[in-house]
Amino acid sequence: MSNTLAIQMEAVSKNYPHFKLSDINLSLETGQIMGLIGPNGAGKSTTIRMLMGLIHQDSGVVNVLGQSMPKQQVAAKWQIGYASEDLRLYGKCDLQWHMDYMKSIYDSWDATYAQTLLKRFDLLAQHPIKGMSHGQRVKAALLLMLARRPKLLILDEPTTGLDPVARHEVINELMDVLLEGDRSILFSSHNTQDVEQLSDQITFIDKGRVIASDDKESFVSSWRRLRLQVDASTAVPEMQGVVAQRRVGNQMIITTKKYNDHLTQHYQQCGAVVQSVEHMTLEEIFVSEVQASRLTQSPGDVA
Amino acid sequence: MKTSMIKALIRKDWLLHRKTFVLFAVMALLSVAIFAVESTKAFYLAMSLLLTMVILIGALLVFSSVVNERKEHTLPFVMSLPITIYDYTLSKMLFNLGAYLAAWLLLLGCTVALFMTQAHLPNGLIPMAVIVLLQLLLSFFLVLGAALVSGSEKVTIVVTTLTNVSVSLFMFWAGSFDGIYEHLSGDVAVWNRSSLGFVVSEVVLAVMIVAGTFYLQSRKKDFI
Repeated sequence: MSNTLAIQMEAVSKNYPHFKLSDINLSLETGQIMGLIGPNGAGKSTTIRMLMGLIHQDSGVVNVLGQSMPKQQVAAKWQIGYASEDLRLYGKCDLQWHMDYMKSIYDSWDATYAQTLLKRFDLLAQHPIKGMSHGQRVKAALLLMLARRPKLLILDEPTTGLDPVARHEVINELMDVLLEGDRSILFSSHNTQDVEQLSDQITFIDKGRVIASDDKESFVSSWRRLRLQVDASTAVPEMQGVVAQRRVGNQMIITTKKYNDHLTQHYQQCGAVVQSVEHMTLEEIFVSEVQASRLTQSPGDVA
Repeated sequence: MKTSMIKALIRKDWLLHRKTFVLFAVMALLSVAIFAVESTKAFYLAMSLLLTMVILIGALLVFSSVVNERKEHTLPFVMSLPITIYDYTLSKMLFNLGAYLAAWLLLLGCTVALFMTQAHLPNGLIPMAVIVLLQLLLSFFLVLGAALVSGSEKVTIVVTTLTNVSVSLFMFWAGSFDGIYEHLSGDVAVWNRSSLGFVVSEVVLAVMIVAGTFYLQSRKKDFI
């Protein structure tokens, strides 16, 4: 594995009776942040748990921070900060108890940074976990993870269920983490807004398969929605990269993942009037990718 | 395996569960004290309370330190630490066995001492008491193994219930065994082929359950 890769998954698969994760290929360079987007049940959590060594892949290679998973998970986990939507702290203890416990384990525990995070997240160390709101519990878990300064953060749906203020605080903190160049983040979400705000790289996952993975700029610059005006007699050919083509009367809406200026010229040459060329939001791109992927997948492909 | 992490996990479980454990251990000791009262009713009361307390301590340990960790979703927090499934299993085994054995040995010692020092209690009951207490230890190993391997609250409840029901049946069965029955009311504790056979079988079975638990845990590919 290249030393510059924080995460590398090659041809990874995992079979369950009713779900199959197939041929997962992912790589995250050190210092980068990757958003893993997928609908519920797409395989995001399974992928993340494999990266943590909690689920063993049936085949393929998983390397995290240069360590082969799950075999070398202990060495990797010393440098990984992990938080997931279903991770809870001990309810009858307070945050200080948890902080002391983490401090007793990790030499890298930064007490000053922990105090800073307490203030930034508006948390009280003596507050019992069971009395905290969901947002406070998520922030407490993030504090415990961040204050030991791991090289890689793996976060499974970290912002789910948070109010806008708490989400903002969490996202800001994650962005600050990346100011230290050798740290990397992989986080899953079905909130495309968070992913768009944070990520350098984006991976779409659906029905156990990676359907697209690229840097954010490439996604945003290559996807367009074109609105054409066409006569009944105008034949519009299917172009490469077009993932959806819908015609209603004289109107035609084309969604393409490989937009360039030649495309509009080509439609004009076919007799269509290009009314608009629109940028797409990441959510629109994601939905289009998923729909296109499901159309090209035969029912037998999906477990 | 890193010893410091195993210690850290055991320390965590002890800090989280020590208050309840100590409370139950004191209640168990109080039931042992009732043996000192010179009355048949007191003897049966003490025996029932003692068995109940030992069973409760075992259930408390397994449910609070293993089952609840899954149920309350604190297991992902634990597994995010630099440990493997083996480390986790080992730490749970050591904590639970350590805590249970501390209570169990105390009760065993107190029970045997009472039988030996109290004139109204026949020493002939000592082997039977040891056999029954060992059966409780065996049941605890089984419940702990079931909780760790299945990770299921329902399975653990079923195994706990079955092992508890089996205690009285086992007492009845072992107490009617040739070589044991005829010495129960005797003045001397008789360690013969039958009583020692029970003890050895129980110890071997306990070791097999622990080994089986580790084996099944090592074959797991999905832990959470």
